[in-house]
Amino acid sequence: MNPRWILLPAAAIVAPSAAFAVDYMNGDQAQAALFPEADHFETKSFSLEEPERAEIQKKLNLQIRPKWVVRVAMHGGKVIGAAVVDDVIGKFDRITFAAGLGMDGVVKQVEILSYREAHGQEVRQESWRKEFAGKPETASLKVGDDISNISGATLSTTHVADGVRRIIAVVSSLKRSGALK
Amino acid sequence: MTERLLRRARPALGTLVELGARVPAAEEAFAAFAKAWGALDSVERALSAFDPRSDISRFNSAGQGASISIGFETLFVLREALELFRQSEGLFDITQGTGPADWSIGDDARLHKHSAPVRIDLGGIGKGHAVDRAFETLHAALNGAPCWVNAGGDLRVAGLDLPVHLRDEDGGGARPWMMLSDGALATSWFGPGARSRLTGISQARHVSVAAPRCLHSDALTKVVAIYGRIDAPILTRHGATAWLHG
Repeated sequence: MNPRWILLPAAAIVAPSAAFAVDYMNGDQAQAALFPEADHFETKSFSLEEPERAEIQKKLNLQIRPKWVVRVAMHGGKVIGAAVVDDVIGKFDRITFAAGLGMDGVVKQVEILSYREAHGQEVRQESWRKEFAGKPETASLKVGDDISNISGATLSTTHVADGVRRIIAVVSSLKRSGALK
Repeated sequence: MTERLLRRARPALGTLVELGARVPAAEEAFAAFAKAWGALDSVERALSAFDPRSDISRFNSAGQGASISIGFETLFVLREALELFRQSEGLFDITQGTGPADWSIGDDARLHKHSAPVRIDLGGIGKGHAVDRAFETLHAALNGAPCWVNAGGDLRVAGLDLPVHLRDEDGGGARPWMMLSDGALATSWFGPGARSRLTGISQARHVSVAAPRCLHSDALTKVVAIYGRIDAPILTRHGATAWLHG
């Protein structure tokens, strides 16, 4: 069967490009998706001490903030893993994601919580970046009904991969220090 | 019963992959999503040029005269690639000039390497096929309910009108462009710094192709880019339509 499609009127196409956003799930939904076997979650805040923070930063060659929120997954009173929600910013996009790590420190799964395609001007604005950088966890998100999809070529998720590496290093450090057991 | 739109996304295939469905029950969608993620992972494992254990990596690192055992997914995509190579008179070449005639599939369904330098990169066609497999798995698991798969702009949909926006590669943001109801769409960008090069077209920098399957829509963006026109005869053959954008 041939594909079925309708082009929108030219006026829509020449219209200035607009910001684009999709919300997939919130932090609570993400922790449940990452650890379906968990019967309880404890949300804990941690501070990475110096010089540990600076050392991880140097080793990964990525900015590491001191404050982290970890969602500890439990089953029958026993810790089975940790989920961390974080944001990364690409060329024009901001992605909120959650990584779930087992007790062996291995990533079980990564889920995307939200995706924002911004204007170039917004991305270059310090206030836009500041709003998300260094924020330990994004405020609860509304899951939208708009089903719009996007087509294009530049979107790469290397910055999500960097974000996951950052979480692996932080969780492993918290375990080593005994803060997370 | 009210139907709900459910969508989930994960990083995969080097981009962000989204699954979506319109179903009465969320549990039904999530069970189907799990199957579709599994299908996507198995195609990625077989075809990835970055995973040293993949069929393609084993071919690339092998010497002249090697005979490589390959899985079903790899065999499927290589056969399609061979067809596209012939139909496009060599414009579509998964070896990117390193030796278009230096690989073959034997009667034993093994992949044979005829020269040391030849390298295969399934890139877009592999991504397109992964979208097709994930979509087919999802659609079957949902008993034909409306659904879609979108891997960073390589998308396939059935049963609903999916609004598609085009990304502005220079300034960020997106603008509404079309509604895709059934079939696949892929867009490739050939601007400065892009991996792909647009040789025949001076003005446009995006090529979009709609086709019944995503494997063809992605592959045909490259053919259109090299051919330089949207009336390449190969498009009709695959029930495809192409567009050029600024």
